[in-house]
Formats: sequence, structure tokens, C-alpha cells
Amino acid sequence: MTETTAAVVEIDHLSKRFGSLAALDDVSLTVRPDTITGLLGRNGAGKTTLMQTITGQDFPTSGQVRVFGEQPIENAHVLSRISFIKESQKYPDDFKPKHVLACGGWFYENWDADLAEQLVEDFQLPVGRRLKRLSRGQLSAVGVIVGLAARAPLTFFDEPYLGLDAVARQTFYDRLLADYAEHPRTIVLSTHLIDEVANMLEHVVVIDRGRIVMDEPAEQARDAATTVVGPRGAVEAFVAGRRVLHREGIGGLASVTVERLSPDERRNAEACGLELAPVSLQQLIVRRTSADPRVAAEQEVLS
Amino acid sequence: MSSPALPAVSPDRSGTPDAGRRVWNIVRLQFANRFTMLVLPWIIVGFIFLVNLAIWISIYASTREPLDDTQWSGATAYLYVYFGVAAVQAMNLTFRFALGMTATRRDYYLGTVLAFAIQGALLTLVCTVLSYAEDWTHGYGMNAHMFSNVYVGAGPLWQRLFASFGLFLFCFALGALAGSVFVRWRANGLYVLGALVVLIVAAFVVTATLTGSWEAVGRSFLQLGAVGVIAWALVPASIAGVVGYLVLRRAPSRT
Repeated sequence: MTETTAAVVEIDHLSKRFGSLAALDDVSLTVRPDTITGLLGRNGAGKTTLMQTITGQDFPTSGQVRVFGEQPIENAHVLSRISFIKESQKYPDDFKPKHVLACGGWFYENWDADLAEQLVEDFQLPVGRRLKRLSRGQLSAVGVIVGLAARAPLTFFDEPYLGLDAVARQTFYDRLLADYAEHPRTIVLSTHLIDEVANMLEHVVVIDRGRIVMDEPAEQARDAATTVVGPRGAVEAFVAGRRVLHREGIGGLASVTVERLSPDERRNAEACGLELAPVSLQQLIVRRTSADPRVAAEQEVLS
Repeated sequence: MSSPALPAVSPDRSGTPDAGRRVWNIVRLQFANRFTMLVLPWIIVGFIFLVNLAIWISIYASTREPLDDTQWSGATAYLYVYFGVAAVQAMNLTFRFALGMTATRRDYYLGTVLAFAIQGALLTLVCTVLSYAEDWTHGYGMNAHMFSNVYVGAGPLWQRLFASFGLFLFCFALGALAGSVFVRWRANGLYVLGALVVLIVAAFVVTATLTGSWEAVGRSFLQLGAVGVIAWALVPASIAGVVGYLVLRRAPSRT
């Protein structure tokens, strides 16, 4: 392509229904090239369905998906540039990791066998043992190794590290960032461990009950909300008329999380003797995706 | 090209492996575990052969006479059944893996057909060689037949090759159809497919009975012989093969 700024993935009013359940509900989204995007959300929010639809593994009910400018289903030009590592990946019963790695070398144009070998050592993966007999963490390591060594221009990691311990997860992050710096590519990472990956992400997409509830650069997402702490009266006066994401209080003290504050508003709050605390990405997402009207109403009543 | 290059309107396709290589990748995937594809069938054949050998020897030892009617042996049927089952299993197990490797369904299906054609050709070759070995040794000196059976191991060379390979393809096509149906609709699909097969067979039985043509049916089977029957069986096999692809083409790869 001549335009290097063109989107790698463009999704237009995409819906996917399973019977009466809307797994994806009118999703529109763009993924820019050479970024690491976090696709975050609760279990069953639609993350996996979204990635399966982008990679042509499942079929949309309505709407359009374009990857590298083309529709992906049965499109070898598109699919040969994608790697999709998912927690739920099924392998042939009698396969061993070495078989999977051999397949990686055949299917991915940019496959780096040396990197794969290095990663096998890093994760201490027994390549000659049947996949069925591997632990959950070792099975995850197989996927992680394939996803990294494939160096596909568009890489999806869907909950790639179930069962990996903290050390192995750190190895994954380190390797991913190091390899990404040397070989920039477009990476979409879906995970529950939001705090762990928050600093790697350049873009954050949050999906909840099939709808996109947040789609912004990570930098912006990090100050998308602020917690205002102080005497109850002063806090309540300050947040009046704002959209409250969360509310807590002990005695005369209140702690209220509100959406983005402008620099003026921040100065104003500080002038009133209120404390402003940052809200982590994880907290923000918890607040946003649990913003069930009933829960919010309950919190109003309680406070 | 002599004219100046126009700006590209479609994405860069230079890195896309050509169709032949993509299909061959699937063949390699199917053969990745050599044990299951290349060793296990011979263990099955070897085991059946040894069991048969033990029976032949025990009969021969007690009667001291050449064995009767072993050319009607269906012992190698297990190999063909294994082949069909392997096709179902391959579909069930490798489809989601191949799609996980971001292969297209079309390349996957073609590659799987090719892999099993190669596998069937190998098995045919060995079975045919063994059928001649039985001929030349007069059934191991006992008039014992397993590979030189009347169905796929008798007659001139081309007949043996054709009948055996054709029967492998037939078993594969049925297995591939069942596998595709299972991948797309799971068990419910198989129930429907089974019901359809039963209906087709029942329709045939009813028609033959009502028209009183069982004798004619029997006669034509005898006339056709094994080779003719297998040749005709390639018609439903081809239909099953095409339908299998159409079913798989719209199969999602979910958990």
C-alpha cells in the first residue's frame, strides 16, 4: 500500500448474534498499524468473538470487516499476514510442541526459528511431550512462542497466558516489547490482567456486553478519570452535575471518581482543598464496565 | 512491463505464498505427526495379518490341507474403515488447528484431500505388492489369502490398484463429509446426516422390494464385480467430497 497510515483493521457496524444473544452489537473500530492495542473487557463481553470475526474464523451477522483493506474470510492474502493466538486453541490430539513449531515455520512467512528456539528455552517448554500432557501454563507457552516467532504483520493474543506464572508472564512482556521494537507490527492483546499490561499499551479498546465502551489512546485513557477525595460537603459540591463513576465514603470523608477533569478544574479542586488521585486503567475499566444502571442506582442510595 | 507502474490499489501481495504452497503446507500439517499417519496404519495391518496367520496355521496344522475360501477374506476391511475414521478425526482435530494457523478453509480442504490421496496411494501400493506376494507363494503355501482377496486384490495389476485406491477414496470421502458436518453442526449435524443416509438406503430397499427387482440387483452386482461396484461408488464419493467442501466452507472455528 502506498499510504502507510491506512488502518490495518476497519470494522463498520459489525454485529454477531448467537440466537437471541448479541455477542457483538454494532461495533465500529479501527486499528492503526504498528501499535499495541489492548482489547479489554469482562468474560463474555465479546472479545474473542470480535477477534474471531476479524480473522475470518467466524462469520458476521451484519456489518463489515476489512483487514489490510480487504474482507478477511477465505482470503489467503489477508490471512497469511495474521497470527491469532488464543487461549482456547485446539491442537491435534497426538501433537507435541515440536509439531506445532514445525507448522509455524511452514505457515508464517516471517517465522524466526532461532527466536522460537530461544523462547522454548526461556519458557522451559518440553518440546517432545504430548500437548495433552502439558500443564495449562506450558500449553499457553506454546501459543506465546508461536505468536512471537511468527512475526506476523497483524498478531492477536487472546488471553495468551492462562496458567503462566508471574515470571513467565514477565518473560512474555519483555520478549514481546523487545521484538516489537526491532520488528514493528500491529498487535492486539486481550487480557484480564490489565494492570500488568497497562504500560505496554498504546491504544485501549474496552468492550462490554458486545458494545465498544472505550476506544482511545492509552495516554488519554490513563487520565480519563480522577478520584476526588476530601470532606463530603466540598467533594459533593465539586462533583455536582458531573457523571460519577464511583462513590465511596467513610464518616465525613468522601471519595468520588469522576470523568476527565480539565487543567482549570484540577486547579480549582486543589484550591478547594480537595485531593486528586489518579485512577488506574484497571479501576477505570472496572468502573465503566460495571456501570450497570441498577448498580449505580444502588450506590446512589447507599451514599 | 513497459508502462510506468501505476500506484498500487490493492494491498501488497508479494508476501502471500502461492496456492500450491499453501495447500502443500496443509499436507505437511496432516503428516506432521508421522506416527499416526505413516506408522499406525501398518501396525493395524501387521496386527490383523498376525491374527490371520495364527488362524491359518492352526487350521492348516490340524487339517494338513490347503485352506478353502480365504480369498473372500474381509480382513483388510479394517484398513479401509481406519482410513474413513482417520478422515473424520483429521477434520475434527486439524480443522481448528489449521484455521488457528490462519489457513483458509479452501486450502485446508484441498490439502486434506491431497494428504489422504497420498496416504491412500501408499497403502494401495503396499497392499497390491502383498497381494502379489500371496499369489506367488500360493498363499504362504497354505492357500491363505488376505491381501489377494477377491474385492481389491485379484485380477490384473490395474484392477487391483484401481479397486484398492478407489475404495480408499470412497472411505475418505464419506469420512470427510461426516467430519465436515461434525465441524459445522456438531453432533446434531451427524444425526441428520445419519438419518439422510438411512432414508436413501431405505428408499432403495423399498423400491427394489416393491418392483421385485432384488434378483436383478444381485445379478448386476455380480456382473459389475468388485471393480465395477467401486467405480460406481466413486460417484457418490465425488458428491460427498463436494458437499463436504460446501459444508466446511461456512463452518466457524469456535471453541
